[in-house]
Amino acid sequence: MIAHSFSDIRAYLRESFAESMLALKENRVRTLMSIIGVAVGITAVMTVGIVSQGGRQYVFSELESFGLKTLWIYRERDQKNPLDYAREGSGITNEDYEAILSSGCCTAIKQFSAVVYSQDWQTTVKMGSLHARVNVEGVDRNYLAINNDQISQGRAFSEEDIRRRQAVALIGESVRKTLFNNHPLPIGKTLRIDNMQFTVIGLLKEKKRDFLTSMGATQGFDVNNRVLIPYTLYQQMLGIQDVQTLQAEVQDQTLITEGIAQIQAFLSKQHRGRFKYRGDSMLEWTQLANRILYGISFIGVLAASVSLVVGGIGIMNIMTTAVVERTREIGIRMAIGARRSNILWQFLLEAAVISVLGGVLGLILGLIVLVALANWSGFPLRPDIELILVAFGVAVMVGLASGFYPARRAAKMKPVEALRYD
Amino acid sequence: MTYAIPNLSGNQRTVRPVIQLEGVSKAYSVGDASIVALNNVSLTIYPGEFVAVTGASGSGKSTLMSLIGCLDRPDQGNISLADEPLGLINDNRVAAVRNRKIGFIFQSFNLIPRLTALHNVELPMIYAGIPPAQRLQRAKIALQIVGMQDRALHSPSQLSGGQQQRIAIARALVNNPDVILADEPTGSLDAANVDEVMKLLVQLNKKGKTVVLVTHDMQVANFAERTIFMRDGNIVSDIRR
Repeated sequence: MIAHSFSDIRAYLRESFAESMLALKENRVRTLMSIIGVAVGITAVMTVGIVSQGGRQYVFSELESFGLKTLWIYRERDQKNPLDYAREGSGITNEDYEAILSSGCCTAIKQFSAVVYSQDWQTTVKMGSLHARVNVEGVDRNYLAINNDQISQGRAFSEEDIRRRQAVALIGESVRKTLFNNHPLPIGKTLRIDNMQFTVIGLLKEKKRDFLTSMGATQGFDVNNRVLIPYTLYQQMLGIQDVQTLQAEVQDQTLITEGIAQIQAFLSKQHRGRFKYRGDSMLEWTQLANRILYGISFIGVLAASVSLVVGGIGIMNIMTTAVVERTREIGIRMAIGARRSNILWQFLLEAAVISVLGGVLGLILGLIVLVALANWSGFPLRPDIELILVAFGVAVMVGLASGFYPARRAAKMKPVEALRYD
Repeated sequence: MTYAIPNLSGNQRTVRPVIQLEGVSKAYSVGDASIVALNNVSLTIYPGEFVAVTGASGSGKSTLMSLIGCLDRPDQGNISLADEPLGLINDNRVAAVRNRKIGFIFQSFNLIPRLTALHNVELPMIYAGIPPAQRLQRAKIALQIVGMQDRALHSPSQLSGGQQQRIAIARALVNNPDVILADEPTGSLDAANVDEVMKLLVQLNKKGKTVVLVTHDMQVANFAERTIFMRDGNIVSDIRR
């Protein structure tokens, strides 16, 4: 005669659960200890998981500020004859640029922008009596889209600005701070580059690259210390007919290598192999970051898992003790008709209750730790529901796995021997 | 050896035995030595009998009890319980036999300490899969039979030995078993309680329950109508009054 209906099974489960709770309450301290053991493990796994996930998001948000699909093409400098470059130019002429735009040569590329800069690393820019060393770049219209740059105030370059070589400029946040005395509204004001007056038409939204800067990935370049002007005008000011760098965005992140090869092939053909071109992208940085982040997550999760295993051993330990202590009870239950499976489930359920309670406590502790960590580090740590479910599932698995051995031991007892046990 | 021949002239002839042992042997190994606990024992008990099994400790009476109660299996021989041969049945079936055909009463009461008296009595029905409402009703009736209805929600530690043993008897009764097996049920009780518990067993037997009692106390054995003496794993006498 098995339980008659679903409601009977439910009643049976409720009863078994109530019995487990009674048994666990009998040894409050011991139960609490093993609950804490599991909780610490779950907290550790959860914290490591969320922190490494948050770290990943943080690093990748910085990498995205360069544009994960962005690449740069420029003429490779001959280290033995550094003067060649000055004499022969950049190897990417205005004709090349126009040809690349109109030919449709490079199917992997979504959009291009010419980038022109002076031979000096930085240029002095003046505003009234103030002056600052900044990175001046002459750019085309697509530059902002390629570099994930956004305008926080004012407007971007119009097509006319580029074509008619308008003396207009977009400035970065650092420039606004140093050159405009932190004035909140620099739009419409003028600044001077090489004695030429530029009207500020837009402010670039600030980019965060603290992590990449600390890793040396930005090579001392402060992305917020830029002044952008039309590349056509800058060419005129510098007296050149070519662009130093061709920047491009590929259709898809997987096409970076292909995009570089297409542009290199096109430029080589244009110049009949006279120059060598180099292509750079964030690819190696993203790969490096991925490798590092996965490595850190792996080690972290491994270390955290150790504490979870310790928690599991804790459960196994107290369940084994409970089984030995209750040998006689097991004998009694068998004598009055418990099946081996009844005994097995009774102890498994107790282990599961411990691990579920440990899981709940671990989740609460984990959330507290995360809120504290997020506040302390300013790091954006968001626990996601998936990870919480996984942590919880792991807790239950640990409970059942470590409860199984003692429970089976209980179920395998011989009733006549169990009854004789004192 | 004295064997009392069952009364073949009465009604019993047409009644099938409730317990039947044929050539049952059981040995235990203690270290390297093997100790014969039962030596080729045959025994037939009919429904409604009140049988006392006595003998010195080590005579094999407890082993006999364990085998009849399906707590252990014989090395040789056959045992049948209420027409069911126990030889080849699996563990789950053995559990079911213990659950429904046998009610155990032990010397040390063997109630589960963290459960209330009522819960202890309900336990065999839980394992039988009886629905909660019916279970509660039957448990209350069983407690009434042993006169413990007022102690239903007490825990064993709040009860005297005699009271605990009565709860245990209620537990043994509750699934309406074919046989009540009592292993030294008075061994832990004072004289007054011995009388109470034995009267209860006699009363149950009068209502038709088969009772098999193991005891080394001859005064207790005298409550039974049939007494089996054991020595060294053998039945040495089987006397009906």
